[in-house]
Amino acid sequence: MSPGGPEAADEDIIARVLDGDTDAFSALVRRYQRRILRLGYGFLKDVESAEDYAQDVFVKAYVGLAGFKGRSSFSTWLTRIAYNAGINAKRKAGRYEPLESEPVDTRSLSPEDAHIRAETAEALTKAMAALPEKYAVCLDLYFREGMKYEDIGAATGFPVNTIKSHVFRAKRDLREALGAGEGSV
Amino acid sequence: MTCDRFLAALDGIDNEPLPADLAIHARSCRACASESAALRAAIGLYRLPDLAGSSDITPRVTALLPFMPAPRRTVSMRDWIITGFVIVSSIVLVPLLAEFRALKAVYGSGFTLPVFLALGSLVTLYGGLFVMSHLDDFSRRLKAWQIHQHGRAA
Repeated sequence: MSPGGPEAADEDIIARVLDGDTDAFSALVRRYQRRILRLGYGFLKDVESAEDYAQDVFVKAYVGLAGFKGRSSFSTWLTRIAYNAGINAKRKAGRYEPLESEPVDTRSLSPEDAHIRAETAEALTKAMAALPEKYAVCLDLYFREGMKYEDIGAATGFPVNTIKSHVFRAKRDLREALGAGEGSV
Repeated sequence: MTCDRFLAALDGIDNEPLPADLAIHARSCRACASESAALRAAIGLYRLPDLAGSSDITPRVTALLPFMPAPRRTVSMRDWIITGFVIVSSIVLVPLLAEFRALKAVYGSGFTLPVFLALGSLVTLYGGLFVMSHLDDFSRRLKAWQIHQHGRAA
């Protein structure tokens, strides 16, 4: 396993970058670009703009890498940079759009899975619509990115209990929707 | 545990495997196990897709990095203060040591001079490193102070 390779821990890669191995940073970009691109799309609603945004986020992270002290995971630290960049970008581009509006490729799914996915997306979109706009990103980070409450709180600055209660309600709605869907399939 | 409590707890757990008490209930209750599995599967499917139409941005980012200021390891102010404290303490305490006094009595300035030269060099090195590594910071603070003074004068 090479220290900057796909299996290397984030901390090892960061240590290499700080020791002058600039190329090692590309492993972090490859590892987290999907999340950052999706967040960018949520803020900017355009794939090309999301790519520019993701590029800016990674460059900011690179320049400020010495400021990463390991108090949170690198992914949380990077998400915080991305979230702040998104908030700034949003001032110019409009509101955060829950990610289900993104163009997704579901061709690899079976018809049944695609149906469940559509039900899930619909239930979560409804749950997000019932929230103040600023919390939509929390549900995306939880459901889409698999982040934990604490990490979402650290990345966005929202209280963990608030995030928890929104996720709780969204899950309950989702279970109800899936239960209702079972009968109709 | 009742099924109602299981489902409420299921909605409340974080993105992690079922806690032990819920897992035990799920093993003995087919309906709750199925509910939990369905929820996980649905969320798993929701996570699947990438942003369609986007490309790998790694080459774009790596092409820019050589033009950016390279990140450097930094020593925290706390570490600077602790190091300074240790150096100053050693300058104060070393002459009080019985060994130091015994050697001083035997060799006189032939012993004390090199010791104090060494300690002095250490202080100079520390001070030099501190100033050099904080030049940007000092410069920023000076500029901010000048702007503040200019604002007050105006």
